[in-house]
Amino acid sequence: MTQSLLNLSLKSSAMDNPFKLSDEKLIARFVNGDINAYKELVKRYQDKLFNFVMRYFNNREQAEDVVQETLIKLYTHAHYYKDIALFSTWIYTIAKNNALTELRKNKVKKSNSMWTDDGKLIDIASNEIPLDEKVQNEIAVEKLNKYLLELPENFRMAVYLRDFEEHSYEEISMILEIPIGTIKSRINRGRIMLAEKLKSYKE
Amino acid sequence: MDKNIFEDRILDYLDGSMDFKERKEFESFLNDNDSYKSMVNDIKNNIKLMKSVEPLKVSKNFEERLQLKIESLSLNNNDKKSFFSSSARQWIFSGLSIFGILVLSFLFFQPNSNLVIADEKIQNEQKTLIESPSKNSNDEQIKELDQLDNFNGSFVNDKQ
Repeated sequence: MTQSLLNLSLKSSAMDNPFKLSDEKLIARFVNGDINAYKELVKRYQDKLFNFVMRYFNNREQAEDVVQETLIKLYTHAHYYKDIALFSTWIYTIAKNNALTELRKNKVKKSNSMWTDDGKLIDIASNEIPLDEKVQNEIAVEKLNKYLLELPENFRMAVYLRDFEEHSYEEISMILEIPIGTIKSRINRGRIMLAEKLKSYKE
Repeated sequence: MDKNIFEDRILDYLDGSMDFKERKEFESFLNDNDSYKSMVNDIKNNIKLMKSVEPLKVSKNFEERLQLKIESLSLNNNDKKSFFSSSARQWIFSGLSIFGILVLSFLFFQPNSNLVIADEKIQNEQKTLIESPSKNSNDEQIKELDQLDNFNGSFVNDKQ
């Protein structure tokens, strides 16, 4: 990985038929020195990882820092990737570990705020203006995010990976490093807790 | 059906992993219990809602910042490389210094070893000197014997 990135322009990534290449092929190419493969992986995963890490922090800046740290690790430790697991599982696991390390470093205060579409944090608890269906849906999503954040971390991340990211149980099990049976139980329990919270909000 | 058993089976029901008989049994239970039915419907709706959520996007300058970090990392690595190479140079210099000291100390001790050789030479000479009298005495003995022979010879000759 001696290739210099001094002239790296992530924005001008121009892989040859990048959509034809799987993540696993891209990382293999990157390990062999193809910097465009790295750019493509960054493009594919920066938002996904950001959304994932946001479920740990609910803080844009911190979440972005963790994602950057994850992508830098991808740059410096790509050769550690073994083809026995999906690349997505591997990179999510790195992001999770980085997020947990960061959480341990500084405990993030629980916030009652929630996200807007552009990721800004607002508090809509006192929002009583009449709402059309679209806005109601947006509010429902924000409430969902809010209550999801209030779930214990173990349940929250399992539900997020399953219902937002639509990962398989096997992938979630590998990312969170927890047996599949426990993952299923946490998803089930997390969904019930979320439904109960939203029900009490509606009432 | 017990509440705990019911809750444990919601996931299988929503995943469609129940067999026909189990599914019918579960659905008939739901039809008999409105609160449970409503819970399952809420969960279904929440899942649908979660899937519809627009993902957040990273900041516009995210890639730029990442690039800067990677660049500084590359520069640090270069610094590290130069550090390692300079330390390697230091090792080589230290090694050469030690070698030089050894050579010097060898040269320094060389005269002593010459003295030892000189001492050995002197000792050998002394040995020769010590041994030489005995050699002389042998010669003298031989001479005496020769003289005796001559004497005896003259005695025989005289008899004849």
